[in-house]
Amino acid sequence: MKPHQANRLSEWLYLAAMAVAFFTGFGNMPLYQRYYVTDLPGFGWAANFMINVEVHYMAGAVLLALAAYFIVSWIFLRKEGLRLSQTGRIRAIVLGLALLTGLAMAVKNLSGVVYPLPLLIAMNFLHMSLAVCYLLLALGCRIARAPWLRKNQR
Amino acid sequence: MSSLISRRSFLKAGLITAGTAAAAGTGLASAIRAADGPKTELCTLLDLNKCIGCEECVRACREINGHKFPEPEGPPPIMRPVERVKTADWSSPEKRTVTDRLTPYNWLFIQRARGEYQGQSFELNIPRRCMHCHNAPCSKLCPFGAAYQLRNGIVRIHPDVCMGGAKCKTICPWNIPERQSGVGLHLDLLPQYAGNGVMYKCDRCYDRVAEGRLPACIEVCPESVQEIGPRNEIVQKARDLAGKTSGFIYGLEENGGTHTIYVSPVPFDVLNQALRKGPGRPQLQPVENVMADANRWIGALAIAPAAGVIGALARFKQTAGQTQKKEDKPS
Repeated sequence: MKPHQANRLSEWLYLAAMAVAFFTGFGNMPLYQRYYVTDLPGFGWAANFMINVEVHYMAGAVLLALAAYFIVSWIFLRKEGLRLSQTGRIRAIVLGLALLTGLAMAVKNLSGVVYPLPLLIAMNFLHMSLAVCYLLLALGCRIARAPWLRKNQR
Repeated sequence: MSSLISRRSFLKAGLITAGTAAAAGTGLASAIRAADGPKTELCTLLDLNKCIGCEECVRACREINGHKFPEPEGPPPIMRPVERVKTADWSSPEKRTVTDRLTPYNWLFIQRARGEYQGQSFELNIPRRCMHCHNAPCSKLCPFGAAYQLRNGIVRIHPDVCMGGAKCKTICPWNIPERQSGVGLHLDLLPQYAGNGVMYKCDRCYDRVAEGRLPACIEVCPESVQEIGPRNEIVQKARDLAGKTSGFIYGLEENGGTHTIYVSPVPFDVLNQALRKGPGRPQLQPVENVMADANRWIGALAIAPAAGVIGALARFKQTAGQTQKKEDKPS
């Protein structure tokens, strides 16, 4: 695969996984049935919380793979004088934390793993707030056409 | 504990610090720690041969846990969309007295089963309440962390955190939690548009257990139907009892294992047929592990970063190879 094809593929994967992660993430709250989303053709599955969580995990796995892919790519690109932009750095931190809290939540779902109530509430609210922050940041940067990377001026 | 964290104080702290600092800094952390009890997972054994259906346990549960029951300050708000959201109000004096099913004011009831097995008629009384699953989907998947498990295996729903969305009831294989509308955190947020009260269920008298006392239902039973102890000991006792009485076991494997084990002289599929089932009256069918399918994806989450690293290395190796070829090509 040529580099530009790999870039295109990773970008599409990122957008698709993000859309699915956000949809199923909000679907973890009992909202979709209440607000008719599950009545839309093709969205009936969203009423099933267990399917919802599995699809959320799938999207999470794709995002984790992409995060690792971009971290390694960034290390290589640094050698070529490319750096994370200011907004790129903020987005990377927020997304990284959202993924890490998501992982912690997935671990919590394993049999025999018990988080104390304060940690459980903190994880739930952190994961949710970080995801929403990232969504707003990503949308803002896309509208403002703020790039992830910049050329090192030094 | 409810008095230690009011809805407003929780909300205020939660919004400011997204939960973390608030949880550590308020009375919440210390209150929970105090009630968290021993690390040993506690399990109950119910010998259905012994239960005479006197309902002493039901009365004791209502009396001891009465202070935890919901006290709405008025009628529930009109929920939107009206045609989609049902309110559940059990707070009228008549409804509060209901004892033949689970309600927000009745966390334990006696389910009667009459029928015939191997040519003999039987009549069994089955104390029914939350099973306190080992890997309880309600506590694992509550989007707000309101349903949670203590280290001793007790599964609780925190009334100050619960939004009453009833996801816990939907994913519970026995649909145990019951809603009371018109109370809870959601009244301080968007009362008509998000949430719908608070979910209630047996908390195995977690506060008494934390003080080293027995749950009320176990303490008052005149026939010693129930006993409580470390899960491995109770499992062994259940197996011994079933072996001795040619009995049948329920709750050991259900939903991946629970902390409530029934031993019955009649098979549970026969009992299940004989039960009056429906809202507030759970079934006794075999139950697959609800969390098993979702937890299989944990492997994918663990492997994913490695796949990403390999993909990136392959890409840059390829790019480096192409650059090298270009450089080697004579111009």
